[in-house]
Amino acid sequence: MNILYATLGLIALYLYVSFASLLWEGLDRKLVARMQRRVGPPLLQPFYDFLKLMSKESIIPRHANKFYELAPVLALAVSIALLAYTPMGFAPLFATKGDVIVFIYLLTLIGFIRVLGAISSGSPYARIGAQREMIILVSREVPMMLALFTILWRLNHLGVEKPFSLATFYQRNVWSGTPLALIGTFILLFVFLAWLASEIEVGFFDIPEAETEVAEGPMAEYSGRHLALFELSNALKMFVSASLVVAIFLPWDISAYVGLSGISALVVDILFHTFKVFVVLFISMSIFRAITGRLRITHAVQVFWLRLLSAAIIGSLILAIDQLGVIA
Amino acid sequence: MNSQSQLTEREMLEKRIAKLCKYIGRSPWVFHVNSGSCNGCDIEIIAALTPRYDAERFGVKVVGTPRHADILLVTGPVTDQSLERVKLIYEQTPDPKVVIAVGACPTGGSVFYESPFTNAPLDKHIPVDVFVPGCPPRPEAILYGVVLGLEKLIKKIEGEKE
Repeated sequence: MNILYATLGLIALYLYVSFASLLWEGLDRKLVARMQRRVGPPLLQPFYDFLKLMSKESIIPRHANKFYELAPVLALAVSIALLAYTPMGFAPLFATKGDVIVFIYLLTLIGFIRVLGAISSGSPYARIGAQREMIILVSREVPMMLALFTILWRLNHLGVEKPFSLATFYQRNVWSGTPLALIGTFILLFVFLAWLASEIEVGFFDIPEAETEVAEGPMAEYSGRHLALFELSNALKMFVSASLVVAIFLPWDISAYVGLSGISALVVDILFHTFKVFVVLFISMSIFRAITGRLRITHAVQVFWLRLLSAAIIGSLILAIDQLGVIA
Repeated sequence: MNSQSQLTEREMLEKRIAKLCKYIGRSPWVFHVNSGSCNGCDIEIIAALTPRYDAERFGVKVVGTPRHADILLVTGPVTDQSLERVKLIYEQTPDPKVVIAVGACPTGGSVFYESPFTNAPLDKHIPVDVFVPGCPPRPEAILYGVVLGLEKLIKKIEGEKE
């Protein structure tokens, strides 16, 4: 019976999140258009795009191998599996000890499958895009992992039920503590926002899919249904990565204040969580996309390894000093 | 009086576009093929995307690869060098698709008329749905051409269903 509930919950979550994330894409395009004094596309444009791509012909290149057709399905399957480990205003469906590592593993796997699909397509443009994606994938994970594990280590010291799990963020607030800890947390928040922008490839980090340079990068040979599946899995990935940032830094729920319980509390929590995700994405995606251009791949690697990694180290040191009581 | 008639014309056009949007969730993605153009028409295509004309409000998006495209905008007099590429790009675009020849060059050769190095009317080589003449055509004309091309595409799709 438990398995049945979990499966139904996952399906409901999948339907809701695919709707919310596609809606956000439309909202994002509209907001950026308004920032540039344009009218912008209709709010449901991503749905139109998705339906159109599903109804179009899907060409398979002569040089593509079997994995070319498999990759979009796998990417979508991994993003759906990821939803079971995503904090959505409440603890993840399959919450367990150490599920943070599964979460990051699955999130990286989506990018990895994109790279494999691109290499299987046999197009030189897709290969360049895949190389860029791989480079940026390796660079962006280091500062983020350092920041994430420092925060989890600190929460673990403050005392939680299941250490190193995503549910801990709802038990302990990261903003509680001394002013020194606040400064450290704030630096790590900045690192996380930059990581989010590179995870969803906007602004500075729109390097792998630079449509004017490498013909849409990894997606160069995909068309029709396959492209639609990739678009959907990208949208899910965007929502899920923003959910991580929201769960760490903005974990407040309103259901406790309103005095709800049961299913209605879950619904209110997930709606409020969606609102917070939209706010985070507005900062990290819409504004960032509207005011910045694309970096060169070497510059992006420098940004990650020199700037963001040092920021993450400084933030972690501040938190460690505060936690271990070196000064006090 | 003049502005009045212009407004109604614009409203009519918007209504027609809205009708198109209802069909299969119209989101025309455009790929720009330059077959040896002088860059005049290319600038006008970019002008159609700028805030003044804002083609994105109809869902138009310029994509970087023919695999994603629904509409091919071909500019230039189809030089010998680019002829094979234009044919290849046409074959790489998934169905259903629309080809729009933008400018005087692909329509009839323009100043390169009877030149031995250009293969002027584009429809000698690939099927063309809409010709947008002008040297260069105005952005409104290009947008109008896109609308005509989409209407033709809808007719084609409905014909397939019957």
